Formats: sequence, structure tokens, C-alpha cells
Amino acid sequence: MALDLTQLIADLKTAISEIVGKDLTTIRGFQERQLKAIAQQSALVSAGILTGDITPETREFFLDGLEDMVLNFLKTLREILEVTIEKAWNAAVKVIWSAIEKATGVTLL
Amino acid sequence: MKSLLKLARVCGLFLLLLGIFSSCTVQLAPSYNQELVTGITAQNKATMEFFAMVALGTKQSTYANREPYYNQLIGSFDALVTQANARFTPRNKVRQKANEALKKKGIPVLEEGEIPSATALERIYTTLVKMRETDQKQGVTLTEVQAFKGQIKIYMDQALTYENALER
Repeated sequence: MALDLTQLIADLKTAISEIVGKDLTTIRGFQERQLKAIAQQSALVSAGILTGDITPETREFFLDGLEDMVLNFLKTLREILEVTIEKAWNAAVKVIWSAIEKATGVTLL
Repeated sequence: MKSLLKLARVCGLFLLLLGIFSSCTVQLAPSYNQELVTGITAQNKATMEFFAMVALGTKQSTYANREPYYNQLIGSFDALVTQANARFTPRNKVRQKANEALKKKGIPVLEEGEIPSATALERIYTTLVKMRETDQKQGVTLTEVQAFKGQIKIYMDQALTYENALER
């Protein structure tokens, strides 16, 4: 039996769209939470330094912390995207294997 | 003749797909660890309870009362860092090449084997250590308490979001 290309493309689209759509919602939510929290933290540290409530003992620590948390936020975002790519790739492979099995009657591992 | 061409085309496609996908599925990130997620969630609760206790700031004179709480939290996060790092981290050539290219452009990348949630947990650990030192030395002002808490919450979100994303 010939491989049904139209069906294969449709199945691939469905499998990948489901994963990407779900993960993008998570990524968007994470990004919004982080950016808002980092902005609030920056405002708090800035105001605290101005009023002296952030003492010289902790000033550098909090300033370095702001830079560091932005960096780790971006690294986290990138790694989550990599997990999404992994899931989409694996879903696509599964769909293709299944289509080949159906067309050839050969069971693939 | 037409049917022969059709058969050849199907066979060709089959071999092409077989070749492309011979490596089957891939793993680009560490495995999900339910025990670790449960541990992080429990320590998140314990940390927020501690911050509720010191919400108005602290005085150096009463530091001794809080020391056991600091020690418990610091010890727990130290253990979580070890647990998060003690996992197989997949390595692949494409990722290495991409990292090299990004590094050349001055863009920070994850070091080989670095797990962002482990880094976030390590930063929570160092934040609590700094807070304990400050409390012991001079007490912590209300604004400093809020800033320590804010920093920990941001890292906690990074750690939990990443670990939950690993549940495929």
C-alpha cells in the first residue's frame, strides 16, 4: 500500500501543533511572571538603595543578583524550548514510523 | 511502466525516511524526577513560612532564635542542588556547535552539563546564606527581607517551571 502523503502531513501537523501550542502557553506564562517579578525586584532594590533601607552590607549582593537572575531566566527559557523541540521531534518520528508501518506492513522498532 | 515508477517512488521515500529517522527518538534534556519536584515544592512552602515569620524585619539581638530555621533551609537547598545535578545530562554535537557559535558572539550559554534549575536552587542557597550572615551581623531591614524573598521567589519559579517542563 502506498504511503498516504496528504494524511501523513496532516498527522504531523496535528501532533506538532498540539505540543508546540501547549508548551508555548507555558512559556508565555513563565516569561510574563519572570519579567514582572524581575521588574518589581529592580524597583524595590533601587528604592531601597535610595532610602538606605538596603544597607551597604547587601547592596552589591542584590545588584549582582538582578543581573544573575535575568541570565538564568534566559537560560531556563532556552532549555524549556529545547524540551519542546525534543517532544515535537519525537512525536513527528512516531507519526512517520506509524505511517511507514501502515504502508509496508512491516513492524518497526 | 507507470506503476513501476510509482513503486520506485514509494520505495525511495521509504528508504529516505528510514535513513533520516534511523536514530529514532532523541533526548535533549535531563529526565523528569518526581522526588526532586516534591522536595522543591516542600522547601518552597517552608521558605515562605519562614519569610512570613520575619516579614517585618529582624533584630540582631534575636538572631539565635532564627538560626535553626536558617540552618534547616540552607541544608535542604544544598541537598536539592546535589539531587538536581546528579542526573544524566544528554550531550549532542548540534548543541555543542550552537553553543560555540553563541559564545563567539558573546552570548552567555549553559556550561556543558549545567542544568538551569540546579543553578536556580544554588542561587536560593546562596541567598539564604547571605541573609543569615546579614541577620547575624546587623539584623535585616523590612526592605531587605522583601528583596531576599523576591530574589528567592524568582529563582523558585525558574526551578519549578523547568523541572515541570521535563515531565514529557
